[in-house]
Amino acid sequence: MLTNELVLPRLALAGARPVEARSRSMTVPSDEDLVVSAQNGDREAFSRLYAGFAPMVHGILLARVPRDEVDDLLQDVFVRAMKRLRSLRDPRAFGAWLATVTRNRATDYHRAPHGSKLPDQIPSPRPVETEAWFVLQAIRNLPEAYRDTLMLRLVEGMSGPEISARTGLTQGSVRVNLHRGMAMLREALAKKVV
Amino acid sequence: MSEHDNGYLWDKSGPVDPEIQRLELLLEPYRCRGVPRLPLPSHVGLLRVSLLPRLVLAGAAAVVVMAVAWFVLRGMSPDTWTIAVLSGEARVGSLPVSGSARLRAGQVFETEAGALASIRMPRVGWLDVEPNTALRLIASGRNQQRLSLLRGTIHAHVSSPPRVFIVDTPSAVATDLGCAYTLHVDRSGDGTLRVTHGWIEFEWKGRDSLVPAGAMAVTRAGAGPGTPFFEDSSEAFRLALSAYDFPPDAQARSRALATVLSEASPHDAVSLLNLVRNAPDADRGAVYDALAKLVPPPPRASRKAAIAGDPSALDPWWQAVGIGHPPGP
Repeated sequence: MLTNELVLPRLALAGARPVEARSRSMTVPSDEDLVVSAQNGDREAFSRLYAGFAPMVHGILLARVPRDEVDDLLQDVFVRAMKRLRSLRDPRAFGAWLATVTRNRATDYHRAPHGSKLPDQIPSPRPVETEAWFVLQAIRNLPEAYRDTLMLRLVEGMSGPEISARTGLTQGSVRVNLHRGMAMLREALAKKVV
Repeated sequence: MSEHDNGYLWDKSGPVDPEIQRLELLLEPYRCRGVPRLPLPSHVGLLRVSLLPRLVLAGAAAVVVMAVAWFVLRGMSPDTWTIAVLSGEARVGSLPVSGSARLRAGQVFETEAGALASIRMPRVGWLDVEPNTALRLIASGRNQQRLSLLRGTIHAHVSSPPRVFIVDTPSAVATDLGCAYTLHVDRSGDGTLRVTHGWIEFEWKGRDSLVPAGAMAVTRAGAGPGTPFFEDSSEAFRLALSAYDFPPDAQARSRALATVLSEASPHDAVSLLNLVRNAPDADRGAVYDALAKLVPPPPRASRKAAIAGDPSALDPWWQAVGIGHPPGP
């Protein structure tokens, strides 16, 4: 998160330290500070990173694996990240590093043997759910850069600047990915090509 | 529009792009909803030391509760449910079921892919169980028969008095008010309910919906049941209702309510009646006014009483909508 002045909800975590606050508005550490603290074993710092970056990880996973698997893999990504966090040299690169961990986890998922399984089973389709599934599949079929960015924008509700801050991509790259991806998505939906 | 001049796509500024907004609403159900608890393997030792006394106490308490529950259930002369596996493979616990089997409180019944089963519930009715379904029988007493639908799909056909047959799901409790219905739960805990006869009360943490025959409701893990609606309502109405029930933020909810009220037709009065009961206080007046334009309120359904949730004010309105009214408690 780029902003340093935020009002954060209290985290109900074992061992969480009291939030130091003189007023409702309080100074909170930047993501970079949180990464450094987490690397030194601060659980609260890691939990804050987890809460802040979960939507990004969720969106990247949703672009690659069945919906039913996303929550389990999301946890798994953060457990992996926690174990490997000390190897991250530049705390400013946490978002990009975590996105890579996430994509690697999704790749591992597809390498592992699974039973025959439909991508996202919908038991008795309703028009709205069927269309949502169709759109989701259309996004999943876009090139990787567009797929992730559009998933974060349309599903996770993140803005372009937020996507840039989280993933480490430049704002210019995110802007291009969003607009080109959206154009391809419109084309796919118009042709109903999934 | 040139390649980069869509402010709404970039940072949600500028004029709303209706197609992008429609996609946002459509895909919102797939959004990350809350953060699941994170296991902290590197700190297990710390947790183990600090929590050990509490875990011991909790374990002892659990044993006592289970013992009491066992004696209570035993004293209620429970009915045994009878399973008939119609096709495919199924099991009770880890034991495969061939043909028929008994299901007792605490046991889990699961169907594999391609399996179909029927369960007879004495004095209540029966359940049809679809493939890839898992359910646990919670209680089969004379006053209450209750199961937990862990995942999958069941079709319930119930002939017992209201509130005897109850189904727990991860995000809602379905209480039978004399009816037939289909209930589906996916692995994430989300669910759908379709009522084909009678009424269902769909409740979770004080948020309850009354779902009549022909209507459906969705339920979301962490949020509970949404407002019931008819599947042949307009798409704009259904999308706005979903955005209102499960909003990404307060502003989206406010916008969604405006759309719900402007798109509602008399056919959607069931949805608005549920909203009068369940909407936040600040929204109820607007919902009442919109509903009153579609279906004039009976004399007893004064604005003040209805907004206060007074059942004696709302019950005649259910009648006026033309679908009867749900059985009382």
